Amino acid sequence: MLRACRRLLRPGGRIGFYTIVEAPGLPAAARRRARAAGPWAAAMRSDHHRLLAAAGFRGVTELDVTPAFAATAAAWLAETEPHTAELARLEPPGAFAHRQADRRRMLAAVHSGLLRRVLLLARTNEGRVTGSQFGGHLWLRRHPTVVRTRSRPAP
Amino acid sequence: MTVRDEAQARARFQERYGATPSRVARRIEQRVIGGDWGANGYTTMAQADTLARELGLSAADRLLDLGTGRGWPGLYLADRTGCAVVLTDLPLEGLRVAASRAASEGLAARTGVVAAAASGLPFRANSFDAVIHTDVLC
Repeated sequence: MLRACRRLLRPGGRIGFYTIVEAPGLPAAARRRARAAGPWAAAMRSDHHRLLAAAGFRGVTELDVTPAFAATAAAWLAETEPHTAELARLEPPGAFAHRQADRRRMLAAVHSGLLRRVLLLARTNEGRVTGSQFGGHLWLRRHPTVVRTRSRPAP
Repeated sequence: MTVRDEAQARARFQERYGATPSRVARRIEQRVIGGDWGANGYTTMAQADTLARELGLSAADRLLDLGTGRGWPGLYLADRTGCAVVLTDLPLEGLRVAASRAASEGLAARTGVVAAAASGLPFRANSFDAVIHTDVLC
């Protein structure tokens, strides 16, 4: 995906993403626990610096936002628990309980030092950012419209 | 992420985004995230502001938000910085909410909404000034 992002960016383009990662230097058993506790929809990676460099990005910066991550996970739990019955009714059976369990598991893993959340920033090679140049792209509509597209393999 | 994982993720988020947020849910999001842009993860308003600052987003930029869900944080960043934004994700339910919010916020003219997988982005090379994503498909 990073290579695809690189291709889409103009010279001087920037990438920034928050991601949950396993803490560095964990022994194998702890790594397995970290991955089990991590977000189910994301592939846990711990080698973003290498991946970004391999994709052609430069100037990689990493900011640790783990304390804010723990605070936000705890806040979701604290704010939603009093409204469990009402919130659960808005979703398919079991979905709300499943998400709460995910949050508790991740929060416990953060407190155990297994998981971190970081902001990664990088840019393409230096060059003038050409600025907004609209028009000519099939996918861009004047008014927001949900457009189905056929997926194609990343280059 | 395997094809099966991706299908499961899509189905789960589709269900979640299909539900209309209640007043309680909006109030909770306001207290946890700091805004009411349809956030359901761990990126707070302050962290979205950090993204805007660190990426130097401005009205001259075209931003791509991958895995946008209901449009968070891409729509907020477009509103805050004046940039144009293209929002992508797979669950159509979330994208419909995002498109509606773009219209109600007066962001329609500089918002694109595209259903596409991160593994097969249907855009030409050199189309964007910045790309973001938050806790998805890393």
